[in-house]
Amino acid sequence: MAALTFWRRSIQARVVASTLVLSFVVVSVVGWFLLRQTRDGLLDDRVDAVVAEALDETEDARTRLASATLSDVDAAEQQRALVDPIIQRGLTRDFAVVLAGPAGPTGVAADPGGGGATYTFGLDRTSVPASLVDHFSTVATPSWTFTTIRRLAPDGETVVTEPGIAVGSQVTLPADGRTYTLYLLFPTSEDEDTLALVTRALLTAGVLLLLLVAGVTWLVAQQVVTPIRMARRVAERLAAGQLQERLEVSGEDDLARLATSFNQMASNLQRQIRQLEELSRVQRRFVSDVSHELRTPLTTVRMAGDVLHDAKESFDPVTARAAELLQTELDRFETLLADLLEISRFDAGAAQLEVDDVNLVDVAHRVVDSTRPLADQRGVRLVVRAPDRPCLAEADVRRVERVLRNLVSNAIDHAGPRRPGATPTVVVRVAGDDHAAAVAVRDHGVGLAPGESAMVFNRFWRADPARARTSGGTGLGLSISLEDAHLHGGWLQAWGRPGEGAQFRLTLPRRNGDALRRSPIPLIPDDVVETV
Amino acid sequence: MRRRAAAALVVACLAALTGCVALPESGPVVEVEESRGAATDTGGAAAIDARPPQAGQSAAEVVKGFLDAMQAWPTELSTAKQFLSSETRSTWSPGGTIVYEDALPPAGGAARIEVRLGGASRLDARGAWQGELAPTESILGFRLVTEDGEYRIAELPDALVVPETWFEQRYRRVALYFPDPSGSVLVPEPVFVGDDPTFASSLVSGLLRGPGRSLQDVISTQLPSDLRVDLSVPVTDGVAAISLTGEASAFSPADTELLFAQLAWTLRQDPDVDAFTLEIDGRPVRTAGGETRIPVAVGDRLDPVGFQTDSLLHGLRDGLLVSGTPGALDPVGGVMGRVDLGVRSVAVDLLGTRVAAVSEAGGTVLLAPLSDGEGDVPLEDPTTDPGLADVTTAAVGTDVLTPSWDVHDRLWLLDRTSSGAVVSWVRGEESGVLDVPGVTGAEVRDFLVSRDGTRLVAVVRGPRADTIRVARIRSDAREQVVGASRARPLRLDDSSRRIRDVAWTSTTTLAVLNRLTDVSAKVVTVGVDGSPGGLGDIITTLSGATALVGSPARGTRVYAVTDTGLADLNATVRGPRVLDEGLSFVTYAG
Repeated sequence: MAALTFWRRSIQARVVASTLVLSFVVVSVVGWFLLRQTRDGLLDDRVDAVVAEALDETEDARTRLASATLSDVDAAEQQRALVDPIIQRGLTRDFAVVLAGPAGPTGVAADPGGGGATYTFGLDRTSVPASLVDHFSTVATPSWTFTTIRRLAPDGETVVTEPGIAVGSQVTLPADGRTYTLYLLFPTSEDEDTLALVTRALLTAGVLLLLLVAGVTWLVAQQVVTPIRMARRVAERLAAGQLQERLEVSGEDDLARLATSFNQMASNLQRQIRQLEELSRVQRRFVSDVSHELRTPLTTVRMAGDVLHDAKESFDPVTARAAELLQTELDRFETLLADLLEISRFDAGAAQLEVDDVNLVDVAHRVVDSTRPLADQRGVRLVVRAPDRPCLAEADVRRVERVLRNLVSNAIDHAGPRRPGATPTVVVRVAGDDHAAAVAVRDHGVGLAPGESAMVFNRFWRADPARARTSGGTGLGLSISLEDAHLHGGWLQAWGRPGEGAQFRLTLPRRNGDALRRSPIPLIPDDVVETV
Repeated sequence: MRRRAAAALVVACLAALTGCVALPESGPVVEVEESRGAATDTGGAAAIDARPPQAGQSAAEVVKGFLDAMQAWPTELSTAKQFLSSETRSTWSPGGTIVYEDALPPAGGAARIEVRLGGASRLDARGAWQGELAPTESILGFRLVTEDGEYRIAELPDALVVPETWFEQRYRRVALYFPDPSGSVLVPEPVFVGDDPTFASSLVSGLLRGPGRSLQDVISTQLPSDLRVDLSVPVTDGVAAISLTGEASAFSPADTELLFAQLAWTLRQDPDVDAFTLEIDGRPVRTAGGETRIPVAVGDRLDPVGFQTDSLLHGLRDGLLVSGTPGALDPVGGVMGRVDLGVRSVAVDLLGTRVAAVSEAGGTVLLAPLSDGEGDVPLEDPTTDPGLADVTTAAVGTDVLTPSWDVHDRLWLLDRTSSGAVVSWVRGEESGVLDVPGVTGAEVRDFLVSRDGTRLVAVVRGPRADTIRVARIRSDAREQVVGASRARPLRLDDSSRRIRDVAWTSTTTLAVLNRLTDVSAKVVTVGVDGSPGGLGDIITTLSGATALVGSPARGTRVYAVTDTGLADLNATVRGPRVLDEGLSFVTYAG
């Protein structure tokens, strides 16, 4: 597996390997072609030489036979006298001789294995191939073919075989007027040795060439891949936020220009990111400052408003109504300002956690109790479903309470009856285990359209822009709740479906700082039939 | 999948590579274009393809077919042997040749057929002329048997039987050269050899057969008799490869030189042979210089006509000895060129240094140097010539014929005494009389001794006709004459009644001047073995010819001495006769 990983990750290895394979194929083809040419050339030369030599021998034999006087009448003796010098020459020039005796009274002699054959000592006469013997079963022109020459080794037992060329030709003995066939067998071992030498040289050259190619490829790939690797590492660091990382530029080649471009890109990115960060910081600062600056006049307006409100009994009804409205809007303005300040604290990273073991069941009950008046006012029934045991999490109780209150208020705002005619109900469910604690708020209101479950946490987002805020929400509550959840390292997630209501779930780790893996409460409520 | 394909590719490449490395060990049979050598040289004569026996031939047809098949040319006997019974076929081997002028058709019954030959002669296995067959021998008997319903010959003469015309066209008169017992000169023995590819083989085979018992002490041989030719003597590119098998002891350098000379002189008669190699039992025989390729020009020192011999004409004019070429004969610078010693014939030795002269009456043989440095101008008083002191008397006799010199520096004399011819010889202080059966005591008209000193030719007068008799002279290794064989008469033309003169035309042939009428004469050639001269030799009729002048040396011309001068007998167109006034005797050296 390690090799496979290396193979997958290393361009260098793949380049070297593919070059090697390609070179091997090319070297093999070229080597095959060269060897083929060499072999054919050697064989052609050898065949020409041995055929010429054999024809010379035949011609010489014919000359000698033509010069033989009539007094030589013993065919066997003449046969020996004819072939002995040829055999002697064969011993020095390394060829074997078979003179096949005549087969019948008028017959043509062809069979070297038949009686009357004279041949080089130690030669296996079956070395003459049957095809050649067949060829000379009638009077025929000289012919040759390839064969295997078998000889007895000097120890008389082992048979030595070697490739060779058999050349046959016919002569007529004047003593008996019959046609004899002279076979000359020339071994081609020397050519085989030569060929083996060439083969070894080619193989050696091929292997060395392959090694050279591999080395060159490795070197080239190394030179190309090394800068790419450096670029990769730098890009990884840039991605990790180390915007000051730059590539080292050396030379003026393509790689150097790539590095220069890469560095320019990194610089541009860094500058733009800095600008954006600065802009964001200025905006947050501005919001924070505006909020702070608004508090002092608002306090004054508030005190004046309180005076007016307290004295509203003495006003005429219209004025009293105005004082009443002023008081209400001042409350909302203060809440909005507080939320803005809270948000800007989060943005500024100034939010601090004061963690403690918090029992979410208690928190749930407290929140429900505190919001019951509002629920009653809306005719909404609040239900808490919690286990008997406490569901603990290390958390800032104030923030958790604020999150939960926000969720419950929202749920009351959007609560609807589960079935037509039934009382609108909001269910607060609490659960916990060793790793996490969660609280989910379920309502049966209009629900959330697809995609809205992610947008609900956006600042000042509303599902229906035309719809008025009835419960006096600022539009920042879910955003702040999400920031709070994140501050705890927890999750705040929304689920909703049109007509089936929605559920918001807050999950907190049991220990502050632990990573969350799962929530004790499913995001999709149990009472919803999952549709595929 | 990709990996598997790559592996398959690698395996295929390796398989292809290893397939290349091995050489093939089987394959189709490939025919080769064979470059046929030039057609066999048949010496200009027509090639004859023998006709094998046909089914249903009668006994006489079988014999006729056999005789015809023997005339195959170039010679081959395998077809002729098909006429023989299976038993005879493997044993029959012609041991000689019978040459006939004409033959009657085969006659006889089914079992025995006779063929009557006319003018038949026999040659032995070497090809040496053996003379005419007796009338009884001229009837060839063939016994026939029936094999597979066909007549086949079971008994027959062990000879090749061929007509004379066929023979003369296809056989050449050549000589086998054997050294004389002293090993100082080669002696030619004439044989007839077929002028076909077996020519060189036949020559060497003939040499190997040796001189035979009848020529013991006349000639010897350096080739051990138990050697034989290994298959044949092929001639390629002018080199005859002589390969002999059999037992042979080591040769001394002198023996080797003699052996090479024998082969060289014999083989140089084949115009295709420039050199030869000699192997005995596979081992090459080398010259003293280590050479294995011996040119046929070696052995000049053993020349049968003598080494570097005199080739001038010598004659007597006004009693003085003259030398030179025809038309340019001048007195020699010796005593005999200045002083008329009263001689009738002279003989100059082979080197041209001494001259033997027979006195006018024939009773004295004088010996004088040919040249003594005193010039050829006669003194006023010839009797004071200082050269006279060098003139010695070599021999005295009754009627001495013109003497002959041989290479051993022997002077051969034939004295016609009242009791007939007496042959003697003189060498320096030595001398001796040789009894030559058939010549000694006969009435001899003319006589010659061959330059090699082994042949004595005598013209013997008979009651009705003259005969030429040839005797062989035997000697020993120290060049001492030890005897002579019985002289054999040579067969001559029937018209040859009286013989006026005889002269050498080569080492083995003689020119004979026959007297036809008082004024006309005929020149014929005859071999020293008795074989007819054959076509192409000199046969001519001359008027007024009285003597012949000839020399066995090559390149010398044969002249007839006529009333009007010398007639060149070698010239195809007879030119004007060169007349030398007062020329009374002409001869070559020897």
